[in-house]
Amino acid sequence: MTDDELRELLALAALNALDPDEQRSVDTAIAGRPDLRSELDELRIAAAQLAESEAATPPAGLKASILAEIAVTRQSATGGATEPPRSRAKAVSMRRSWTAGVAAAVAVVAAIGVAIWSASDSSPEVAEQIEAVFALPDVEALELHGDVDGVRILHSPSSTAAVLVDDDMPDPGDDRAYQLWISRDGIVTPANVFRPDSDGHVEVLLEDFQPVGAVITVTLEPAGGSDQPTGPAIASSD
Amino acid sequence: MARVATGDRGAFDALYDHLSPPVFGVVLRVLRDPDQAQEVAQEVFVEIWKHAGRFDGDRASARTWAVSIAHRRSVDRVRSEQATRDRAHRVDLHAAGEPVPTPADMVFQRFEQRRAADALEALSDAQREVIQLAYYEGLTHTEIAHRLRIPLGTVKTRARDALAALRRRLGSER
Repeated sequence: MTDDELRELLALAALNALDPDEQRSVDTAIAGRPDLRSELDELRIAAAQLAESEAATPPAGLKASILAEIAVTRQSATGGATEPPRSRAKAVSMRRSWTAGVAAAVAVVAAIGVAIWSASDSSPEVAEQIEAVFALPDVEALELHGDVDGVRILHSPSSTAAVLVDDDMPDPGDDRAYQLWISRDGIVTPANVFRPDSDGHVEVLLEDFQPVGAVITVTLEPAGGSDQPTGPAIASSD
Repeated sequence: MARVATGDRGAFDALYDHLSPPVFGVVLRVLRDPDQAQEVAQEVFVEIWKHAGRFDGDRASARTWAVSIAHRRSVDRVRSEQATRDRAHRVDLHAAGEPVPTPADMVFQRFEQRRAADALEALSDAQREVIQLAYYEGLTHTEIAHRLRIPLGTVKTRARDALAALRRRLGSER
């Protein structure tokens, strides 16, 4: 999307009048663009005036109900990053190497709980965390290259949460899924298994993403994911 | 807001008094159903509580932030068409006492309300129509184009011009 096309959509975004696909494209495109984000902020401030003309006294009891709920609701940490639970590491040998520099005998460590995500079945909690990543002021896009285009990971030095996005990813078929791998110092760690939605959109929350010194690769795997890469690498940061 | 982020429930209580009229108002306007409006307003305030640490005062006021969350949630609810009216409230809403806004809050509220009404008046009829369908009815721009039988590009232009007008008004008062 060009800057002009984006700017055209910002007013509609501030009014929450975009279709979900467009909203997602705008969210993705403005991540890492402070100029566009501050323009959207200004438009939201203008739009917020529209709420003021409708101000109404809430019903009796709403406040008590809210105070009762927050008394038992934990606040999230600043920046929205959450500590993911780490499962016990296990080492298995890898059958074949799939990126340069990874020897045949390197250990594969299963460190991150493997979950299957698709853009359509994100819980509200995950959707919120994804939005929080898009909203980080210092978010950067890491582009992966390969047979499949447009795979990007939006991440930020100030948070361990990141989001893998793509607007047009091919359907892997019913019995296959994509899987993300992080390799660092010869250790290959399996990460999220995911599928695009029917429109090819992908938005995957990566809870503990630390790209420094790592090679990030996406492979095609059996539907449930693998302990070690078995399929071809379809996109990589290398 | 900074105090709310540290878990200060007293600060949250005061924040509620300050922000509940525009938050409840916009939710009610979009949803039109008082029961659903209460549910969504509750979700909004719980979200504000949970994520107060993410609030960035450099980007917008707490009021704008709260209202934006409220509007987004209301529109999502309208679109998902989940009329979950039968969901039980955690606390009987009618059993608790009246909220007591402070006189300062009430004066401020009247001031904000008048200012916003003036701003809407300043829009052209065509702009106001698009704004009303988008912001208050929760329609997407595609739906607005169908409803008004105008091209998508016209909806975009009117929305953009209307917000630009509202923005200029704000700017002139600063």
